[in-house]
Amino acid sequence: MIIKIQVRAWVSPRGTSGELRKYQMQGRGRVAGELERLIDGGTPNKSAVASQVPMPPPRNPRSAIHAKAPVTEEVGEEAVGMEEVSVAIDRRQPPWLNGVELLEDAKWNKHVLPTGCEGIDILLGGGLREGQLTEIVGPSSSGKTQVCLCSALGVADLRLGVVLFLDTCNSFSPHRIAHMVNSQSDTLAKEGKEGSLERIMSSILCHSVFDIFELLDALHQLECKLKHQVKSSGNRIRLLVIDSISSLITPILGGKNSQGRLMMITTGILLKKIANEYNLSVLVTNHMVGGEGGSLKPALGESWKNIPHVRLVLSRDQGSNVCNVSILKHTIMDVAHSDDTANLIRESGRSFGGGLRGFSPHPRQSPPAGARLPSIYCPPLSPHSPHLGSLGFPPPSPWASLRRRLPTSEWCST
Amino acid sequence: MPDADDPRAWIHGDESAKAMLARVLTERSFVLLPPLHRLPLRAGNVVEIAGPSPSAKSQVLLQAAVHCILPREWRGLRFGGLERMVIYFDLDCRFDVLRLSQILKHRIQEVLGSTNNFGHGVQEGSHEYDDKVASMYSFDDELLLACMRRFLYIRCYDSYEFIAALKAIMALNCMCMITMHSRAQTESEALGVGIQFLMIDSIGAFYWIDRASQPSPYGNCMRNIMSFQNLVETIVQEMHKFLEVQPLLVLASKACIFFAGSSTTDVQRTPTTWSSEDRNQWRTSNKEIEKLLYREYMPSAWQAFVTHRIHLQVSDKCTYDRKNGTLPIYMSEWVQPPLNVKDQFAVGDGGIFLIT
Repeated sequence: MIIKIQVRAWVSPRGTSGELRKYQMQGRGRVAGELERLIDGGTPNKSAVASQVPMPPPRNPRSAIHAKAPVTEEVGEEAVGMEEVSVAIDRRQPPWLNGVELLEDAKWNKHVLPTGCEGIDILLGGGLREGQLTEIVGPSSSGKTQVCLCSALGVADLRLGVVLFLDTCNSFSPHRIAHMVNSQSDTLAKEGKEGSLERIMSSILCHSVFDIFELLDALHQLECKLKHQVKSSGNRIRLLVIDSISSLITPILGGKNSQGRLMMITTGILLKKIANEYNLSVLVTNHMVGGEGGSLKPALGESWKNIPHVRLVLSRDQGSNVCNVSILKHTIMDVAHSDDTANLIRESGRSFGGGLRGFSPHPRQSPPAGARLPSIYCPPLSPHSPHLGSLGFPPPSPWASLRRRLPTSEWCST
Repeated sequence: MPDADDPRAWIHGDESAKAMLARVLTERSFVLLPPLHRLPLRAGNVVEIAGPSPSAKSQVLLQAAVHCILPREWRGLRFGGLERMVIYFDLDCRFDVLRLSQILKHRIQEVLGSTNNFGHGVQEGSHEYDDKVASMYSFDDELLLACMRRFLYIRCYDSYEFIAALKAIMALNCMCMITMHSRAQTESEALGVGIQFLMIDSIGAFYWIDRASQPSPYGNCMRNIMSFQNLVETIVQEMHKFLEVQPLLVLASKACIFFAGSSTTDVQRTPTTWSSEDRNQWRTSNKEIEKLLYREYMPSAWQAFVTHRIHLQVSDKCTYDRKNGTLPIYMSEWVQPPLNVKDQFAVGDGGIFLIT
């Protein structure tokens, strides 16, 4: 069996010496040069922990597994591959990552991006984590696109980086974002709303894809671009939003043909790979389908359940502008326990800064009358409706200003 | 060449059965890992943990990993771990290192907390108390880092990467065992300890991808067909080779990827106004649903490799704990060897705890 392995050019951010050595490698790819550079770039990592300089990305241990093997037609291809691997091993580059290195990577590279929706931020313990794939599930017009737009706005506004918005159902609305910007009450006086709007809009890149193949193509192009980009915090892509990945996958799923599931799993693995290697956060949305007994369940089936790191469920009570969000799956936090089919979604509230566990109240207890559990973006229906702060919620963060006052008509149009 | 003057020496054997049993029991001792505690497991066993999506399989693996990397004793405090290394193959790419460190910190603080209860004489606010707290925190960090160094993590996005990583690990391990030449300090002390556990998160992660890969239509017939069966056979071969050289306990989680008509939680959530006849019908169909849910999709090479199987699922009951709040209850059942007992456990901040 042939082990197909290819060279990974890991561009060291430390300067041009790495570049020069990369170009000095032979056409067939000598393993030694690549690994020497990795080793030289690898050792200062541990000493850089205490310094103020942001840490360079940790060494890529998969370079030890990937070594370019010369193409031969002999029978002993497996033996050749093994030789190359043992050459890589001799250079003292183990293919694993230590637990300590993982912790360092999580601390220095995998930051948390605020979504701009206070309730979701608090539920997730800060926001969307880089390196993770977050999925938002909800029936139609429950606010999924709003959350996506709000997150894009939040990241762009804070100058954290560039947002790439892959739009599959024409749901991206620049007017909506302009509306959100205009309704911020405490913009910086010196910048003015025009300037901030232009800056924010230029940080959000929107691309339409209507096909799973177009999506895979766009993701591969993104991967190439990220591999070769110079690491500078200003123009780095931080958030990748795919609005309604389910609308691309659902037409090809189903039936005896397993090609649909193949595309879905390939897309999922590619998204997670991009998220982890280039420190992005990926946000996707999914819709709901009917399940047993009339209850709703997330679309895309059982195989998709293993793909996202975090799954959030949105729902909206009929006729109200208030959405409920709860956690369906999380790597650290507890799952909100769902009661019976009528109350499929339950709000979860927890105090910010308490432990990492969030939990929902006991399903037999009803919330005490007069006090509502905090929910995400509750724009007041009338001037007299309760403000979020009066519910015993933690003091408003700078993101409170991103809650929109939106007229009902515009809400329903998306 | 046996001695000429004692030609019967070869009959006497190397060791008696009693000595051999004693030796093997110390070399490959039994471990009891909740919630897999019903059966004592030892190096050489291959355990498959199967369950539908929200059934705490990864938590079981993390719990076992924490038990393995904790030291037996550290500065006088007894932690009861195995002090061995764990290799974690993350094929699902969903591992969260913060969750592992959270469980580890809880376990460490449990032990520290129980010993610190004996130090009553120190008052809060005094220097001694501050020193004690500070030393506790530094103790925590040191121990945490020492444990995390015993955790090795490999991420694979492909079956081929998985096979390559297995080969690389095996070669490194062989080299380390044969020649103890100088390496980086942390790696030598880590590899010198010896690997005890090998964990694979979601062995069926690439099922759909590999199943659909077509054999290469061109080329000479010496190239093997890269079908899912062949890939899994290669994986199993590599692991066999590894296990021969270094006896390990292999824990593999497997996701149930087929939807079984109605999931078990939905069935149990039906309204309670059913008559007894309906209840009987419902119970039999429950078993069929379970059979469909846990339908085997891995090829026979993997099925023959696995020596133990356990099924996990989430139940609709929940438990209320003052410390942890409301938590859903998970159930586990050993299928191979079949024990007709269902255990219940819940997942809290500090890991898995059993519910009796």
